[in-house]
Amino acid sequence: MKQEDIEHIINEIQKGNELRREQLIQYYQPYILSVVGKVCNKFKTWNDDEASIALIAFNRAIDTYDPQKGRTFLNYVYLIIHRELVDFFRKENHYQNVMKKGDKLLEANHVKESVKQYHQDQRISSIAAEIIDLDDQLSQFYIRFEELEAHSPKQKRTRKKVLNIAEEFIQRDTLVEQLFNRKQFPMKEFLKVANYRVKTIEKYRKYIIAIIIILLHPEWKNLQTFLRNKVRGEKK
Amino acid sequence: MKQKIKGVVMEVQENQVVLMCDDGTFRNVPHDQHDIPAIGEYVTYRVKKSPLLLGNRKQVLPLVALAAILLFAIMNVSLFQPQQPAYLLAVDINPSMELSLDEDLHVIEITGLNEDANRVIKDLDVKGQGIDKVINEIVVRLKNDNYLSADTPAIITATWIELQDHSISNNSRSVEEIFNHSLGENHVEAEMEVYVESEDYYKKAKEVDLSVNSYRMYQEMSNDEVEVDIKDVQNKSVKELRQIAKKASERKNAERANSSSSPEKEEAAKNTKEETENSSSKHNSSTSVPKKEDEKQSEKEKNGEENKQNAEQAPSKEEKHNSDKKRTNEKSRPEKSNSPSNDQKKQKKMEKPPSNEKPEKANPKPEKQEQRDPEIPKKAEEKAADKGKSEEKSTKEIPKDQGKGNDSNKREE
Repeated sequence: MKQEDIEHIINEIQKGNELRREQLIQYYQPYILSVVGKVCNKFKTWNDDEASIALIAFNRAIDTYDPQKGRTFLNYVYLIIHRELVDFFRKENHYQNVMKKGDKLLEANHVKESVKQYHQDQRISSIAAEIIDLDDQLSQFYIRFEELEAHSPKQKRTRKKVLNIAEEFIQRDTLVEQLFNRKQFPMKEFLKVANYRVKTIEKYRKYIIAIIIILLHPEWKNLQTFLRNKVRGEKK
Repeated sequence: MKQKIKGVVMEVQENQVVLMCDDGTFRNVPHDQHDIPAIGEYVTYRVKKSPLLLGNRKQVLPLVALAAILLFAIMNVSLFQPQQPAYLLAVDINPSMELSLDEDLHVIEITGLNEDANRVIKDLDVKGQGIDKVINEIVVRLKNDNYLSADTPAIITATWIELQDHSISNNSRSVEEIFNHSLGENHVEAEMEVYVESEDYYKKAKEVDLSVNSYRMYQEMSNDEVEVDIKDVQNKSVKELRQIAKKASERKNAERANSSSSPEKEEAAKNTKEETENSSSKHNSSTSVPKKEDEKQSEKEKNGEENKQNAEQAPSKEEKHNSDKKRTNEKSRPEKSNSPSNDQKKQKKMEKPPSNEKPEKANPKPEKQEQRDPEIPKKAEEKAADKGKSEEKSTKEIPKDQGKGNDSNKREE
């Protein structure tokens, strides 16, 4: 989802499209939970009070988000959730726990620091946006991030090989179309045009799908750099 | 060893975070419980490298499988060893059978050596059961098939063979006890003979294709200078062998008595017999609890049976020297059988044999008896006692026989 898309959707929601609101909340659920965990310094599930508070905060963030103020949506969401949770901790006498975080924020008051902090925040939230998007795409293929470790190539040579497979794959529009229509890897068709062993592809199938999706979204600059890093690393 | 993992947090889970590393691969890393990163952060983790537990499952599985196979192989070796028989128990009643036992005296296998035995042990599930149960089961079956009964005492010969180098324990003793126990429970009477033999003896017996017990009979017979063809022995049961042996020895005795054969020769024969008996370390005992009276009785029973057999053989024998006496003996029997109680009848029967043999034996072989004594103390003592009586009376005719019967009756009373 590009920045414009988000602004557009939020605009719609603010005008009263409840269905869109539901979809947006659904879409950002993993992010909300991860922010809760980050702020609480402890992993929280949807059963915890903090998660509910964060959800309410997120809902309010949708209503109050104003793109004109120069923040990305995710950054804004993080801010709101953080504030709400700190309020909650204060009420619940968890104040001391949170003070450390507050101190950190205060320390960053210097101009240079704050600019750096700002950039870092921007970067994090943009990566987060990309990741959430990728997660959303992969869920169509029933692939979860945690599975990808087992399907990742371990050796440099195989890594390169797998990347080559993916790059070869995205050059053929029909194959890409088939991939997204069928939601599964068009093995037969791909083998007709490329000379690879079924076993290799089958072993890394999920990983290949993941990097194909990343390669197909040039707007995900941060994630792209990871893959390009790899290519560069090999060239060295 | 520690390994640095750098990457962007893709997903946060309860126990781990999914990182996308710089090289574009994904890693699942357990996270610090008190510092949860947010999605999109760039983090560095130090992870202990323990390839077995943290590595993926594909590496662990073959190792586990290998370990399991090894374990199985080791277990197999140790499991199959006790399956080898440690002891062998050869039992001859008329059905002769062999029980192979493991070290804990559980039955591994039971094999019948003749058709009677096969019929008895057919559909008898013995594997893994204790020896006492199995023996009891066999005794019950034998009783049902009329091999054993209350009024005709049978002779049970059991040989205990140590197949491996086990220190000879009291097993032979306990076998006897087990038999006695189950015999008593089933109200069956039988004479027990238990021998202990080495594996070599068993092998020798197997070489000539005989059961251990018939092999012993065969040996004794051949030592008695009875001419037996081993092929004849092979076809006969222990019971039949016993009869043959009896017959043969009687015939010889009779010959000796008649021809007043030289005592030296007889002594030599006796000595050889002793040797065989020594080699087979004979335990002889009665079925019932070893009270003195009971022992005597069973002894008598045995004698009685021998006598009976003799009597049966008598007409067919047609030997001139003996025939007279035997006929008189047979005549005398019905008179005695009139006596009221069953017990008494038995006793009388038992008393007969000495009358039959001993008068003839008595005179030429006083020394013989003494020589035998050490080996078979109880039996010998009693026999000696009997003989003593018979000698006192020193008559070869029936009246003496009756007198003895009366004597024993008095004693019993």
